[in-house]
Amino acid sequence: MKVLYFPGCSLKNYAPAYEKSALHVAKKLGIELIELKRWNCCGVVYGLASDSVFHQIAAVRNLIRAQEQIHESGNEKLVTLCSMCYQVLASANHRLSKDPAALETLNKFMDEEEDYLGTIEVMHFVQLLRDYIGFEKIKEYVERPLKDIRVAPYYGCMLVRPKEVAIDDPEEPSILETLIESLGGVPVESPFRTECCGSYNVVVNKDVVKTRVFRIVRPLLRNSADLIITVCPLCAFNLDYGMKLASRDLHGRKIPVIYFTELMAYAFGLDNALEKETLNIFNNLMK
Amino acid sequence: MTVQATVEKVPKLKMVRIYIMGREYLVPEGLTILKAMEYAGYRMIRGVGCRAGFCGACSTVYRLKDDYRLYTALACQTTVQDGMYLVQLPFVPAKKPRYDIEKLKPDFSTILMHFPEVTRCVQCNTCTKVCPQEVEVMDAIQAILRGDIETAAHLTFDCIACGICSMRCPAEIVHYHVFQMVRRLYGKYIAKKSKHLEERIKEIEEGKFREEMDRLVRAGPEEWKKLYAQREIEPD
Amino acid sequence: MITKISSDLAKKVFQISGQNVYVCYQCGKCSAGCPVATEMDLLPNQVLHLVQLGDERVLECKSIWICAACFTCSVRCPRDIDLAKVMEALRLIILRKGIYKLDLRKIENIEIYPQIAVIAAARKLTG
Repeated sequence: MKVLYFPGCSLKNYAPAYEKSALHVAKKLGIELIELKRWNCCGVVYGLASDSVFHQIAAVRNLIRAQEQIHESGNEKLVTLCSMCYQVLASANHRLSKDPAALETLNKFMDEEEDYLGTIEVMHFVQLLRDYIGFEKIKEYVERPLKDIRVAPYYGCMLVRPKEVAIDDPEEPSILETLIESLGGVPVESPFRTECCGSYNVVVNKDVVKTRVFRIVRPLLRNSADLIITVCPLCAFNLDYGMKLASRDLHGRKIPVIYFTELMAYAFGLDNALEKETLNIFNNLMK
Repeated sequence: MTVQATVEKVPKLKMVRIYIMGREYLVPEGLTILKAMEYAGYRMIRGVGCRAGFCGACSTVYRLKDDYRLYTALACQTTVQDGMYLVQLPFVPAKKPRYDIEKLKPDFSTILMHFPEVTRCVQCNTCTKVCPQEVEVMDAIQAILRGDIETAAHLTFDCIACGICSMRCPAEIVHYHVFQMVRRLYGKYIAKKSKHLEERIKEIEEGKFREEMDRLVRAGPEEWKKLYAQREIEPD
Repeated sequence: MITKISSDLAKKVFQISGQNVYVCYQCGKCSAGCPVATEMDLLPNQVLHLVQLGDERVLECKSIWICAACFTCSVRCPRDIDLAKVMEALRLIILRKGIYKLDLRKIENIEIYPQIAVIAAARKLTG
């Protein structure tokens, strides 16, 4: 299966491990992720003003790029790895489907591009795995079951909110837990798994992130989590940085934060898809 | 005896009406804006440079007859049109950033440190639309945002730093300063080094050509003329 | 300190966000669920109440700039008010005047951040 793929601005230089492991895992599952040509930053936060379309220009420009390239994949899906990207693109899509005046304004403004017709389907990679491959099928590819490693899923906000674009229940999601189980791991009870990590406040108000991450991570330490998996580079950065900021309150304890595709890559036996450090962490846990 | 002198009819110049800084002038059709301003009697001391479309000094804003839009262009590269209403930008007063290229790393964090405002780009594409050199400005900024210095360096090769894009950018980015840093980073750190250049410099420093140079310098005009006439010419 | 009371504020918020603040009956679920409520000076339900009263002092609070737009409040509101949009409307009232709440050139250690953190901050705090 071929799918158009939208990387997101931070993936190439901040989270190359995420992309590398995702591409390898996708290949193993028979999915070819075709990177979109000439893509731009999606805007990261969705512009919430109902009276303006200015902040949706970025998202729609990318949807138009996808529309221009659907012949490459043969379908109208656009897959992202970052949940901020997912939320922005999906919300823009949703808004334009409900607000034809906004769509018309945008199309008129972007007169150098073809008109956006509103038919692209935006998906997050984990959603693609659940809906088009299925976790039962994923079990078949596991060559190295995780031997009961305790994995805490961290959803963050953007995959499960707002309701219009959520891929799972906003209060009690289970998609990552099911994934962990299918890989042979043990999902750890994480009461704050959908609580916001603090998002952009890390740039202006570090205390907000410190307090948030402390609250999220403390019960995971109590529940003896070995790893935290995330679906978004910003969450990964905030969790990691937040644990550093809160290290005194956490008594110096830390839990490694990895991307869910890295977990999958390890379970699939794709060692060359992983960074050396990550591989070492896994190997140590499996002893 | 009468001599009939035939005078060749000089073709009458077609004139067009243009407005420079609000004053009306009749200038010959086919002149560039720059030449038209000089025809009208202006002596250019700012807003003029190479006159060849490469220095970016002559940014001009104008409108056309029966059109409400404002256009931008280089005065030395654009011909006048009837009804053109124009004004010049002497220069764009953007602050010149100071940095030591030796101390910079060729990745996105360097750009973020010096030009954090690139994160405000909303991809409105106004910059690309107004660029007189047809540089894909928005694509270059986005490549930089991704950390792809090499692509951005190649995309902005034709940038002449005229500043028209920066004047219109809602995110207040000064594009040409960012591009200059990117191209410098690319040239210094990313582009392939030319080995033969380094080797030749080494040879020169070691004095390999010292004797030959000294002999040539002392040889005198007669010798030089002889050597020049006998020089090796590469076949076409 | 501005103590102008005006229902113009609620109208303006409606114009920008499409949300009718008068539907709120102050149950407090939004404040209970807000992950950053402990850092805020005014709780989300208090912010909404001030908008209902038309008290423009709400534009001076810190809460609207700490809001991470995580949508927890919007998802839990029993009256289906999208409070994240109301917060954004209040931010935009100030940002659209050209007032920036972040000086990008004064961020400490900016080079450690991945792009998305700075881009998100720029979008929310400078418009």
